[in-house]
Amino acid sequence: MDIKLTILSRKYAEAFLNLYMDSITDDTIAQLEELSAYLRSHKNALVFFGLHHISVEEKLRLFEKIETRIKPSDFIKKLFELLIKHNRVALCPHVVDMICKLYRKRKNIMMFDIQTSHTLDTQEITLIQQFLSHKTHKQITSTHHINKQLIAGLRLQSETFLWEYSINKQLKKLTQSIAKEY
Amino acid sequence: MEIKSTDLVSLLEKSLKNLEQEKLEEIGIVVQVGDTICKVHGLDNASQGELVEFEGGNSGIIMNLGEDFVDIFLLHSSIAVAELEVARRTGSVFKAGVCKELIGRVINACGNPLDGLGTINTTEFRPIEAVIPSIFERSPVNKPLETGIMAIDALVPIGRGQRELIIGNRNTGKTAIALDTILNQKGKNVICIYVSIGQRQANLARIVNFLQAHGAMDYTIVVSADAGEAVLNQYLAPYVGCTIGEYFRDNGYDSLIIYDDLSNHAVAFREMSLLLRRAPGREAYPGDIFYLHSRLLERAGKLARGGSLTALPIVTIQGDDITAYVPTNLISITDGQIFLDTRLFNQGIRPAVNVELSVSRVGNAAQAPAIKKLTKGMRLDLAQYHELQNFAQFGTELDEISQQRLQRGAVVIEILKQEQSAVYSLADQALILFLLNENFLDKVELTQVRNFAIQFASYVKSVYQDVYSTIAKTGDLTDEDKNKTREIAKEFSLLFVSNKEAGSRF
Repeated sequence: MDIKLTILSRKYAEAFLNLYMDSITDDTIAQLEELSAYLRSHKNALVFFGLHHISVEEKLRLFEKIETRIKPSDFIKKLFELLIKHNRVALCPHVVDMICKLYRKRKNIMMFDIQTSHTLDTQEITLIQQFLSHKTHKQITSTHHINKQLIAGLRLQSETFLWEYSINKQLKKLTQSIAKEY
Repeated sequence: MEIKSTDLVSLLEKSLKNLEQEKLEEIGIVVQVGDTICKVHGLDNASQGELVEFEGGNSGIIMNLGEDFVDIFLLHSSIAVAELEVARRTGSVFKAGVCKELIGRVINACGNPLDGLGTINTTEFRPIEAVIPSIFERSPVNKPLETGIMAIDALVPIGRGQRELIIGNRNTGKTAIALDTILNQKGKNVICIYVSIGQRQANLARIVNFLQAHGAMDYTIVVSADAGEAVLNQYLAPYVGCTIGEYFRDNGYDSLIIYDDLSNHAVAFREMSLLLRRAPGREAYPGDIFYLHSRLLERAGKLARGGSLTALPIVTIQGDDITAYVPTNLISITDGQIFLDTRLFNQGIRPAVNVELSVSRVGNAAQAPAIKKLTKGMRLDLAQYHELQNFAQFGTELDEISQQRLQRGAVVIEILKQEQSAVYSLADQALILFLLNENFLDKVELTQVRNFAIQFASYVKSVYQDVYSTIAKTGDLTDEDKNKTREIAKEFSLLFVSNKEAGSRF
């Protein structure tokens, strides 16, 4: 992670949220996440947007094509146009991520990544979300994926919190204590 | 055996109920790793100086707090930290393990033993940054801490709870003075802590062997952060040593701590500050370099409820320049300095204490009464000697008084010479100074002055034990003692001369 990029992205994201916080909904965040994922998976588009000798109009025309797929809100378009004008389109995925992050922070929502060694049903995920909500006093949204390295157990991780109870953790602890002793 | 999904749910529910007691750890993600430093994103509620543990087994201390990132210095250079590794808050600052078991051990800044004598069962942990005792808790420094080195005990006395800087060029005997001071604490109920900062391991091994050979490890703890260790360890070592010293002080002991040396400590801190991108100031040191040492040395002192912590920081200078940044800082923080002169060292005057540039701000308040009485004019004698010596170099003809002063100065210089590890007891020093004061040494050949003085002290110790033990016990020399000692000195003068003559006959 580039620290300078993060700091700059944060500034754009904060300015964006100061203007449109009231208008943003969860759907907008979903759109933003979709846009971020699209740009990350289509790096060629980012390169195209970053080229100096291509006019702003040309770049906007390409963005209109992307619009047809994602259908972003007006203020997302404005953000994109601003980044094109500032010749900082490369920042776009970072800015979008930062907007999502700050939005969740302001709305007291926390994103958790639930990693388990086995599959979980919705009931179990709800149970885990309740547990995390109780612990953090925040509204929890989560993603789930299977991590075989855990061997057994689960790992709940957000940007600032971690809760892990797995065989993998116990083994790591054991390894470290043995290494310390000898 | 088949496991039903309902069983799994109930099992999970049960485990989650139990796990509610477990801690939800506050974490951050490593985003950048450098040489013993890393940048971590997250750790929102972390505080400055907090200890952080990494998933890979390393740990570090937060040295900088930013809006998005914190800078962490790593404690172990041998354990790798990877990008995107999770760093956990511990919620506590770095603590040093303290216990009486530490005596006789060699440890590193993390408290791990380096001497191969097994683990140390530490009973108590204390934060390395402690609150400095207030002025109401302190008592004046008035009890001497004898170094066993005549030049220091007579002219630059050190008291228990004092901070006396040892300053000099490389290879002028700074460490030797510190080690002799440790040797002289044998049987005096003083716990000594030797903190080695940024030195070579071979050097440390030599020092530990020296202390062991002289039986000084029975009351000494060595804290080492050698030159090969992570820079954070070099920064922490003096604070760890000081925390150990405070533990003994708080338990009523008098403790002595030697920081060898704070120049290396300042360099380590400069390295850290530059890595943290703090603005460099004079000699590229950061602006808070003064505070770095003042908060360390202010922890020394004598407490009213008993116990003391005496600090002997060492600082290396270059080309006899005491006006460099760190030395001037330390001179102003401490209660005096012992300046070791390369010129004197090369002339064979060892310890090479430059009396004119050395000072003890506690003065003779922390001096045994006997020594106080006998050293009244000594500094003046030496000053006059050095002045006249410079004058005599031009080949100027000197009057009789000046020649007498020159002769006396030479005698004073001669008795202040002392070999390493040959420390003098208080009584020895009092007897030698008595000889000087009563002009018994004026008639002795200059090359024989030291022999005469040492043999006299040894003669009194073996033949007139009552006189010797009275001086040692009271630390004073009454008129009655003086009369007795005068008679003994006359007797010994005859013996010494006849011995010499006898020696020349055979």
